[in-house]
Amino acid sequence: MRGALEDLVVLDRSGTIAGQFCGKLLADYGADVWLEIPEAEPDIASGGSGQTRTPLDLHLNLGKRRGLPAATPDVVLCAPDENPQATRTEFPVAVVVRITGFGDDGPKAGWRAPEIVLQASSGMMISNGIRGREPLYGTGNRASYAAGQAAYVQILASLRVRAKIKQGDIIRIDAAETAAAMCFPYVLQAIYNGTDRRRGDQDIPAGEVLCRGSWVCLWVYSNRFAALCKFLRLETCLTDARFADAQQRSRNWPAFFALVQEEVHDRDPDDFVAELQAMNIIAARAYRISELRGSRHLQNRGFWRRLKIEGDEFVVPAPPFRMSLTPAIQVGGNADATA
Amino acid sequence: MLPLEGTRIVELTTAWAGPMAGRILTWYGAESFHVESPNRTNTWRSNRDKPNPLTYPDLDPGERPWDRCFTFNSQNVNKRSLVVDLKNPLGFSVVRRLVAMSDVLICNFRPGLLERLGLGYEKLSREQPDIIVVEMPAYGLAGPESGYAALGPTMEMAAGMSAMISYPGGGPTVTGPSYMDPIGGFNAAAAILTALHHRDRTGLGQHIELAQVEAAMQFIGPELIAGVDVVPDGNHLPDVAPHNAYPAAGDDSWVAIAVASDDQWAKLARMIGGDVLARDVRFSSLGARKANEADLDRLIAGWTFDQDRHALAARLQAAGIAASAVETARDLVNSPYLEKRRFFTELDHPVAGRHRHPGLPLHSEIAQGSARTAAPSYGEGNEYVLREILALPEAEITAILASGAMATVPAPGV
Repeated sequence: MRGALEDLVVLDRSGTIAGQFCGKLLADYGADVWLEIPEAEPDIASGGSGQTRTPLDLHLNLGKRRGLPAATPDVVLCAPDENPQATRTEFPVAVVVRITGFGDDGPKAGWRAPEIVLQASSGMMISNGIRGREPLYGTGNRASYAAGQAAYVQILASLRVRAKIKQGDIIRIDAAETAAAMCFPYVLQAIYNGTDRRRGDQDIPAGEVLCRGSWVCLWVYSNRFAALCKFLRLETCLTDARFADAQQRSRNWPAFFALVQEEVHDRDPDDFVAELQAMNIIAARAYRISELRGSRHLQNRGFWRRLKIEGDEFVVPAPPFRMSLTPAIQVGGNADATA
Repeated sequence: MLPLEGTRIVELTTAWAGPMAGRILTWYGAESFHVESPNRTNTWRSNRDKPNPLTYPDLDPGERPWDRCFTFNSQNVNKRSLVVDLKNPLGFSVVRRLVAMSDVLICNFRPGLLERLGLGYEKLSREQPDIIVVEMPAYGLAGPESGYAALGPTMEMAAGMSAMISYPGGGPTVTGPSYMDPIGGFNAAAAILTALHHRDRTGLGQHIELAQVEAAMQFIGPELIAGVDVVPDGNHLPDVAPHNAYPAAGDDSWVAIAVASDDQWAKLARMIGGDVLARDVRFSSLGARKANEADLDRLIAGWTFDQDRHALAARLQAAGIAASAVETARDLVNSPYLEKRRFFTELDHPVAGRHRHPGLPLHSEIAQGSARTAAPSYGEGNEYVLREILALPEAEITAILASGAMATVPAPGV
């Protein structure tokens, strides 16, 4: 068996990160995906100009074939200027997918939608950064990837109905609406009681400290506070009025984490995280990209795959989920590779 | 037509990622039973002894605060709640029998829980070869860190994303907050739909391992493949300038602007300072704008600071310049754009009241999902499961309820 989706033929002419990521997921799990690079410029992040073996192309298009399929496609990921109705007329039982920034109708139809705009309009960005300074957007193209993921979900849902009624579908995914749906649900809080949460409002028992060469994020729930203080020889905090109870601590976390910082600046970040986790304190190291390649955990799990394409070697991440009966397709990859 | 009508799901889930996976599946018509503990309340139902007014309708915890919390109620629409003590043999037998009548089991607790409960895939699949079991631990089921506990922000750190986001020279930033959770939720729903597609053709279920940190790393795939550290510089990008959020009229009010070409800059410059600014050599090319980026940001901020962010964004977009107000939750509630997308659905909750609820961005002509019922009250589905699904004899129901295996009110202090 080629994969769970081996019966599907997909035509990916989206030309966007969102569409090509959706096509990549379909290919990862066995679909026969054909890639075409459209000429039209998209309103959301582009998947590139068709140049092969770039990091973007490798990530989005490994496992796809270039050109047009001989078979009628089951799924068509539309080009930016493609009319999905016309495509459905051409392929009446295909699932036709159109992914845009703000949709084809409505008050923001046609708006330019680079990542910072999508994140700004989603309600997520206002939660990021320090109150008083500009809110930060999440680097990368996460709204586009999320839109691709949403398209993948809807495609598989639509195919189930198609199998019963023998009709095609038109799916419409807005990256902006997807980004809004991925937000912490403060929107329901605003509906419930009118409050408008943003940076600095979150009552979160967490902080970051800089260990030897790397930042570590730790969450100190009330039932672990004493254990952490003892572990770090900060017993004086247990009698300090600023940290007497959860309410006091929530007002004084910066002061507490400043004390933690003094104790941990020369600790190995991985060891520190392991020690905290052993005490049931949730913690993680803030990995840099280059450090992730060396993660013993990821190596142990066979997360990195080493590929050789025309003599050049590349290291790529494994697909997002592991299926016991129908594992993801490995395009010349070696799951045991270490980076 | 609802694509998952007739599909039954049991959720051993908590907080956001697991429940969001179930929420997506119920959007498509699946029947989902969210199993909850009578002794350890889901954190998203809030803490009964220390209710935070900000989480409730009208700031009022009411008599059943655990049924009025916006976090739980946002992610559990369309579901039933089954509150059962899995350590009580009678309680476990209820869940075991429910699983035997179900298609999918979702678990987002730490690895090993299902095996300890006797609900591991290997065991279940011997009797139910068509069962689909999804486990979604943060770091996977195996590996040196698989036992680590995690939350959305720590997963963002571990995935390499936080180190890419920061003010110049600052520490890593977590976003959202908890942006990793909905990624995990969508990934789990995607995995289940993939497995169902396979099962429809073969009759076979399977086991799915979704390591949430690894799955989220797909979102920075090109950066991982390049293998080069991204040096964060606030909102700035090397190939776009200006690219930032600028102050607007009002408290903590901002507008994001991204200029992708010299032509777009010329348009923006004319709006700010007429032809003189459009011709200013300090900003006339990308290289010049990057070299003078601090001055550029100050110049734009001086122009935006007293303007309405929504009106300004619309004006810039009309001129072909990418922009948006940095919207808040309240903005989204009143958003004409989301209204047009029918993002919100009004639902009646027996304890929390009638409110609009945020939806999902999934639009189809033949397989349109929907939010049909509000999140369940705590233990609302207990008797429904005993009587309607398992169709147990009355004497057994009486015995189960008398044993304390089920509850409709959390135990004190949890």
